[in-house]
Amino acid sequence: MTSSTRVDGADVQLPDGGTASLWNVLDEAGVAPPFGCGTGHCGACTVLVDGVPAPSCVVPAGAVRRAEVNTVSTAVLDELVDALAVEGAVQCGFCSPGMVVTLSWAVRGAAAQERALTDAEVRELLVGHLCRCTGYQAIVAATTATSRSLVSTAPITPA
Amino acid sequence: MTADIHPTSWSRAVDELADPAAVAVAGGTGVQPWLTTTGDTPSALVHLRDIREAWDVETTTDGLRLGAMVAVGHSAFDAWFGDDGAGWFATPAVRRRATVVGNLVSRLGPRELGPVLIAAGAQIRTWSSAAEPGWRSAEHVLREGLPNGALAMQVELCRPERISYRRVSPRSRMSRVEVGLCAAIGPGCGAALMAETGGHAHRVDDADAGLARPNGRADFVASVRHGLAAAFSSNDIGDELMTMVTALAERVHDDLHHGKSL
Repeated sequence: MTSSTRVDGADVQLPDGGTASLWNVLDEAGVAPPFGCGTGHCGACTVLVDGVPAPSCVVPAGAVRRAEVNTVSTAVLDELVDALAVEGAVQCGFCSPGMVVTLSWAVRGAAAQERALTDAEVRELLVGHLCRCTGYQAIVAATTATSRSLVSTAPITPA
Repeated sequence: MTADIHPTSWSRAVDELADPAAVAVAGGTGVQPWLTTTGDTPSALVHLRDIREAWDVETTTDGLRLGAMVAVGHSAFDAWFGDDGAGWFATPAVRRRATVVGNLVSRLGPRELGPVLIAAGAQIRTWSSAAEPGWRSAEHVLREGLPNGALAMQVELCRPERISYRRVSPRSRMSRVEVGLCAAIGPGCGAALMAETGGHAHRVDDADAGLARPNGRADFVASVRHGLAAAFSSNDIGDELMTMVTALAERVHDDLHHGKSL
């Protein structure tokens, strides 16, 4: 029996058995993020699975039956992308799709609680996203600035 | 070709796992990298996610029961590790998928929750087509593995009043534990030691007396050192390892008696 998952709002057929990962499914559908380590540690292939970030390389295809998957195409927060560009937080761009998915999710989550992300929270999220170009500082600055901008009563973060 | 099977009951999952070439999948964070890197093709992947009871978290007066789909990052378990949670375990995203039971029974990767689960007196509820449901100690499962065809359904942990897990790793995050010592105070709790990367965790015998007393640090350290000697042949225990384990034992005891309670 074939089954499907929703990827960026469209039905995508899952393989009828086999050992494919979610990343393989996304690749077949032409919407795959970069493939990095294959063990869930680098974060490059992160997507949202039922609204929660997950490295698609460690998610078995059979585990997303009837799930809602969002790649960077639909999970991204535009304000964050703009801030990353302003801060010069993107260089080679390999890690960016996965990182933007996670950070957009976190910024939205904090905004829903009417608060801004702290530097420490952003750095903790980045534990799962390896970047070999930027040194992370600009990414943290862009994310906290975006987070603050989304709440009306943002706390002042000490310099 | 590997079949994808989605049982909705434990009994159906047990039936499917009677095939020794079938593999159970909970979070998938251990299974999928194994499949990807080895190219192995089990006869079936038996996904546990559609079994409602697999997601259960039961808090009792003296313990905690976690179903096979409960993740390491679940607040009921994560809270044991203080403000940082189980931050030493993989990445935040992996912690939200990797399961406590899966880490313990995995044949595929380092079982770094081992010391924590043994120290918390963990028991694993298993079921196979050859045996009725029953409980096995985490220590036994870590040492012997699950019997062929057995399914791990649930873990039961004692509720520690205080717990400390100190580790030696190349980095504080996302790094294999090389040496680790966990100790917990509370009914049914104790101490456990892991002294080789990706190796087995061993219960530290006779740790209780020194563990419970604020002034019992020397006794606790002695029991841990004795436990290390008992678990490994003397050829494997260099001065450096013994020094490391001694320092961990001192810190764990200090954490338990001068740190925050749960």
